[in-house]
Amino acid sequence: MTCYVLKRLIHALVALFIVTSATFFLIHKMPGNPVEAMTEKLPESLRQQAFERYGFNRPLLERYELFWKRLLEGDLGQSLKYRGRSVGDTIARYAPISGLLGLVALVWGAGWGIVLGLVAALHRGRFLDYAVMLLAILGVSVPNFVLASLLQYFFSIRLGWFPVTGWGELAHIVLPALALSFYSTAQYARFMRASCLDVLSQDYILAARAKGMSLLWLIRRHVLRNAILPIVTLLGPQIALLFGGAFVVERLFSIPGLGFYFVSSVGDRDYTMIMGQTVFMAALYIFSILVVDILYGFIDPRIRFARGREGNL
Amino acid sequence: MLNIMKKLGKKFRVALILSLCLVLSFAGSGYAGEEQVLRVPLDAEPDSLNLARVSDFYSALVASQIIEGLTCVALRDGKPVAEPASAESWEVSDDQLTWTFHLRDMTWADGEPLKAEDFVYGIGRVLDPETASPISGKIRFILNAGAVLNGEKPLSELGVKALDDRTLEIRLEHPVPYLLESAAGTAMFPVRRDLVEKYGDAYGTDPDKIVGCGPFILKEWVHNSSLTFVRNPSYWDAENVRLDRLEMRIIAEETAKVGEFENGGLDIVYVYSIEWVKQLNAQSDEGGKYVRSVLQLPETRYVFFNQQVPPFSNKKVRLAFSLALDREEIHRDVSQGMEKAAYGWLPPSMNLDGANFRELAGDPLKELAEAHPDPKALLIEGLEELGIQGGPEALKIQLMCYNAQRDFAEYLQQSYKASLGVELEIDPVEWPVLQERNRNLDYEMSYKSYCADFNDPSSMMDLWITGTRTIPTGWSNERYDALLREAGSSGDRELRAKNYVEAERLLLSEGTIAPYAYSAEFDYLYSHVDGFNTPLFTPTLYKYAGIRK
Repeated sequence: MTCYVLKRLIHALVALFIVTSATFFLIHKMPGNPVEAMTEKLPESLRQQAFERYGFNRPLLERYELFWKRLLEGDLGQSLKYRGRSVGDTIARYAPISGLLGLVALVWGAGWGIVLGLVAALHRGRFLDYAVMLLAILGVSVPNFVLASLLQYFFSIRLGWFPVTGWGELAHIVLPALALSFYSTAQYARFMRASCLDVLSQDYILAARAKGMSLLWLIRRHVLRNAILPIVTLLGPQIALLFGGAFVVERLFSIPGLGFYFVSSVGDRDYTMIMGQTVFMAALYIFSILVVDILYGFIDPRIRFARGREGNL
Repeated sequence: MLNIMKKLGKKFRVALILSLCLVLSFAGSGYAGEEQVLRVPLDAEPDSLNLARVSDFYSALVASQIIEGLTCVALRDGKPVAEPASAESWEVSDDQLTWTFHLRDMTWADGEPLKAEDFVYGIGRVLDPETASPISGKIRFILNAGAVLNGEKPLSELGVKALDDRTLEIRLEHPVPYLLESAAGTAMFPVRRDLVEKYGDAYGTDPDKIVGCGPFILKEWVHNSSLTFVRNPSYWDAENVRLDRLEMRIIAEETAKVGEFENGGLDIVYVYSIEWVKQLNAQSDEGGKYVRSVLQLPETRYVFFNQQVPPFSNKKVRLAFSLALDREEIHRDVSQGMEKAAYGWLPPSMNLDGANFRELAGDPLKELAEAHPDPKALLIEGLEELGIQGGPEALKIQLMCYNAQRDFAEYLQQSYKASLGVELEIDPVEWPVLQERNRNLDYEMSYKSYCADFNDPSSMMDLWITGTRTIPTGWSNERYDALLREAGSSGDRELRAKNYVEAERLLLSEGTIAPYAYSAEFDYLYSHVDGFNTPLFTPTLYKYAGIRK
């Protein structure tokens, strides 16, 4: 097991290195430069000085080296657009906001998804099943920002039940989280339905029913435990998306999360911010997949044993 | 519900309760009471309050509520008037070159006295080549500013001096009739050296990393969300500041912003898209809910050409493209009557030594159109001069445009096809790319708008002097340069007027740029908002605002 974890950890680090490097070269090859915006109204000599100061006239490889040197010292640098703001601080301050929003959305999404999936599976082929599946198709195909705009328009602007924009109070989180959770609700419902049906058709369920076990007891004891496993697979990537999957919704509701920087830094060519975000998101994504992989082993002993053998080879 | 929860099992209960706790721990508290609170929108996050390093409008607007320069500009009967602020009084020498400001006996919000040295430091930072300040161009009239900025002279030779703690002397390169208005701008704000040194790069990035001396104190700044100001009790004119609290809400989406306003979450709203203007106009006409305020911004929209490559290297071709624009149609159909048609480069809000420039200069483009009634014939003539075969129909021009403003490109495409028979190919790019390609003269034609920094023709005319590369077009004209240099360094009103009028005509008859509209801003407010004061060249000051009971 230790060997397995170690191997996966090394893979994760290599993946992180590749993602970071690729982003670095891609953004520097992209036309446009942040210094242009800073120096638009400056005389030529000062413009050149600014390019020098930010190192933009140095060879790309040299800048790449410097980037790693700083990164290994834990320094993500300063934003080129929001002058004087440290990228590390910005992430540390605003990632929790996106994280909270994403977490609420995920808990709602997973919660409703599991319940709906279960309901659909138990009512297979009947009205409730079709209703849930229709909802699921809608949820997967309607982008969250469309839903967010609709929710905002009806529940905030027209009905005035929730604040239109802002952050800091309980009411602010409801609509954006709902909009964001819709997709995961749909996804979880579909997965849950499929895996429930799978479990329900097993012989041991039949045996248990034959012994006269109640439906709820069955669900608790056998169906949920066995059906939940595929759901954990979905969780990994979603943990990372918690922090950055909401940028359009955040913008619509003026939520001061990380999503804003994720998008605007590319438009502003704010290189340091882009790199900081990339490192953060890539690390989060890769490591959450890693954690889920390891978690598997705990939830399902079959996987642990299989890997144990692999590890000993 | 509880029953179901019980049945769902312990783990689910824990998860549900946890998520509920998360949500609840997040709950804040509302406000109540009789205090005066004004809530206004902000379209984007301010870059930084380290003002020498940034040039965005939002930073200046925020900073102007917490810091005050020597003067402040208020609208009095619709006219901008510079009033005493940190400076109680001032004198100017007979040659108009030396200004002496007498500071008030006042303090910064942390109790430190405001000193003339703070202005010397603040202005010096903007002109220090080390800072490479994007707003340095606003005060290049200060003695030796240009030389200091180019590193030819040390900062100590800059014409700003503290005669004593409360007397500031500013010497100028040439007479500056708009000095008192410029003195209200962020480029001439006082800055605390001790704080800049203490916080370094982080100075001005958060409320605890800056101290002001203005009507409000910035209490909270949630980046990308909101800024909260409270009245500064130690402000010299605190008793006339009516607002207890000022809240700025950063809302990027126009629909959300207007929705927030209509639901009463904002007291004022600024809108840009025609759909919203129409809708809010309907509610602000006679007897409506809102009060409308239309600002004629000191900003002109224009098409510009790269004149280093054919066909725009030819003056007749450029002029044909300029005259072929149907400015009335743009006014009527594109901007739906919101923005006035432009027949000159300088906007109607621009003054020259106190007199309206447009009244002095008339409408040069109308006269040019009369002299050349057939733009297509002019284009054909120009193409012949260039030796380009096939006439206008064979031309293929690339129109570079900012991708967020593509609509106008499509208008231009069909309009030039109809009027000149020329084919335009739209090339939409991101803003930084547009800037870079403009800079490298890697385009054929494009369009932008330019907003004047200060109330003087030089603010917008100097852009086209040879060697100024703010909006490079490759155009160079000795006569134009000479006219502007002479006007810029003179205090003689008549000469200045004569030169600027002639230079503008020259600029337009050469077809260097093709202005087509003067920008306007549409503001709507609830009638309980009082004292909403919007000078054009300096940020709105909320110290005059209040809520009518």
